[in-house]
Amino acid sequence: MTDEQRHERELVLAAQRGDEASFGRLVRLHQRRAYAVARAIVGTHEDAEDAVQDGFLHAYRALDRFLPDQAFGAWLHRIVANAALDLTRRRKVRAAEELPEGVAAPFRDPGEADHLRTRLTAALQTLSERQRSVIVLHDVQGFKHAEIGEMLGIPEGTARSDLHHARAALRRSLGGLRSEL
Amino acid sequence: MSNELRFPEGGREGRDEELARLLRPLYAAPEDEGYWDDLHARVMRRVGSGVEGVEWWVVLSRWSRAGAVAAALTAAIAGTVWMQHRAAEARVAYEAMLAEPPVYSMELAPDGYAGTSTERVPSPALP
Repeated sequence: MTDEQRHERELVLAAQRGDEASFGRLVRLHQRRAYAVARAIVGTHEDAEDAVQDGFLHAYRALDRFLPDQAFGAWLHRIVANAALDLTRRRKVRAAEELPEGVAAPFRDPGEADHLRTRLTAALQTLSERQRSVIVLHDVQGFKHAEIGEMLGIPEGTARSDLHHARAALRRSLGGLRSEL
Repeated sequence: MSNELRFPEGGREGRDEELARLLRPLYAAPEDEGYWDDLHARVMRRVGSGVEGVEWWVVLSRWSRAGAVAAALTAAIAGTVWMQHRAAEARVAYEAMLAEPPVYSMELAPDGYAGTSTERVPSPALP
């Protein structure tokens, strides 16, 4: 066990004893990764924020059921992913009104050309929600298939298959993009 | 040489770096530290206050609970008022019965027997 893991375990144990400040340290340690998980699933920055907050609140309330020998991050990501999936289900209608299937403009202008973003957004719309989540979690956020499967509640093989199909679909949609960059 | 993007598979667990480069800006997280401080504060406020996201069914459930309590209170108050009203009515009737003597008109019957106008009992025959 690394020093980092030992420190995190101590924070978890303290939080389980009701120390809110220790839970606050855990939030600070994990909030960026939790945001990445939520953002990959819900698509929009605003919904990702909501999912992160819901996720942390659920985690805090379920802390007594967490076994400290487990990886806290993996446990938390599963909870945040569930909160994000729940939010996606509830906001599907609203998301459809704003941008089809919840693919949103980024939080900050990344400096890419607008038409590129439009092409990417259109290409992502050809994917199912789950395929989109899988490819973003894997290729953008760097999660492994097993982690993605656990987060989304699907078998690892399904995550692999979704990734394969998502990549193929994006290649087809973005194939001629290089000349435009 | 083709102008098309080439997307390496990246192995079984590897990333597709070309796709990642294109997608990353769409899913960029805020970089401003102030944003993360603010998000942390919001999370901790919710943890401290125990505020859940309020769903419509939770709101409805709260309303129905409040409605049930209000209905029970109303029924209890109505029942109490009704019972008090009934008790008052009974008391008034009882007091009225005690206060008012029965009205009998006494008159002498033509055959010499006394009796009320409503009740006449014949006297036994004299020897």
